[in-house]
Amino acid sequence: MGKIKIKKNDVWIDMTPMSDVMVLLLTFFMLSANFVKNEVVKVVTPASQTMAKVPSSATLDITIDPEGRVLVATDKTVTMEKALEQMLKEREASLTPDQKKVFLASTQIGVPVKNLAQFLDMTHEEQVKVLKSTGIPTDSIQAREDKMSEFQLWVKAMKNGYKEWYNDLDDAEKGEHANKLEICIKADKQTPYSSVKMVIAELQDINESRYKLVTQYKKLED
Amino acid sequence: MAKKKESKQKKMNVRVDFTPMVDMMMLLITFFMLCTSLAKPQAMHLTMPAKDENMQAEDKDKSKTEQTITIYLADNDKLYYYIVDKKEDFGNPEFLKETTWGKEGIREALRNHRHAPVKVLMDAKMQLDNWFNALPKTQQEANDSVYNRALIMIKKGHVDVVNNNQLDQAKYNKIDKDMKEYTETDMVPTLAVNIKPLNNSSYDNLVTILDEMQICCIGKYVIDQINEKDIAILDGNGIAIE
Repeated sequence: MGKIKIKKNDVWIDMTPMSDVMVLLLTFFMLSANFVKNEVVKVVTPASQTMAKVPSSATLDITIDPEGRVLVATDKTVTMEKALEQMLKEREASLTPDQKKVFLASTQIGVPVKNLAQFLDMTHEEQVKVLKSTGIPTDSIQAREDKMSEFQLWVKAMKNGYKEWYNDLDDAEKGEHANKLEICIKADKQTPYSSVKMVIAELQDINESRYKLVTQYKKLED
Repeated sequence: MAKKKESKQKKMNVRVDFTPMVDMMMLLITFFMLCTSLAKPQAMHLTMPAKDENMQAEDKDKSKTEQTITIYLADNDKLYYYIVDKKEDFGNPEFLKETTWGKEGIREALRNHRHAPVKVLMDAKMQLDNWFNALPKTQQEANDSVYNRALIMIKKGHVDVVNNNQLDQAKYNKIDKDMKEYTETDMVPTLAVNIKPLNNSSYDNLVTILDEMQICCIGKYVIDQINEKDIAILDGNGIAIE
């Protein structure tokens, strides 16, 4: 009786085509990447059948959550920085350079300026908790002559900040950027109309009457 | 001597194992897939009238009463519309009708409005779309502004700008010229919509009704505050305002 000889197979698989495909996919995802912003207060936007897209840059996002709290954000750090300087001057507050750094890294602004220094010293977890329970004050400041609210001041400061940055550009660069910030209102499905109405009324007060309402695409049912 | 040694060199196996590389790629791809948002949200454009104290109440409402519809958005996603033929009747609670969202409800009411049905406009828009979509891709880009201009014409009631799924070029040029000189004539009646959301309605309702304006090809609509007459109408039907 002879021994049964099991032939040892060489199981080497050639990975080259697979890695080729992988590189292709990776390149695609890297090039088409626009990262999801890690927003603390998230909203579920309503659906519409509008085809137009939200502009990819030069936006001023106004988030209104179901409880009616208002948060603002903009996509450019330069604009944020300029707006912050202006706001600190308006509201007579100050921040240390470290606090400013934390501020510029954040994706949404949602606390009154007077609490800003305290807020920026908190740990991230605490900040999340605070952001979910405060919001930018929308009531008009009685001490001010123009009776503007802090929210209106933020919108103005950001608009001005962007304008300043835009005006400093070369003519060639100007063509590549929008000449002003586009106001995008991002409210939750459940947000009561009264909150939206108040925000729109405040914007109208400072002569901002064109907005983009952020929605999700939904196919039209026939 | 040296030559001989070289020729005796053993042939090396130059097969490189790609598995670790593939592993790493997989990780990177997963990272990018999870962190990117491919679908960008849509933006609905909204223009509100600028606040102007000098504007008189009469300037606000130039549309004929019979070509107007008032839509109330109320609590719990409820929806009402109000149509009157005579201005004097406005305020009478019995003309208020409740309806539903979507095709069977509010769209039907808009489509078959007694004096200014938007059915004709929607039909014209469909013909315009057919014309535009039938164009070759290269032509579409060139005609984009024409399409948008024609859409404005249709919204204004110039439905004859399209004919048999084709754009009537002569008509288009004529209306375009008239519009620039403000001497427009021959329009089918168009509907004016007053959207009056109550404070207890949701933002979702507002967006849905604005979307309906796009679907129904309505050019004249305004988001308005409720006044005493509206309160009388709603009160008469037992609808909570706050």
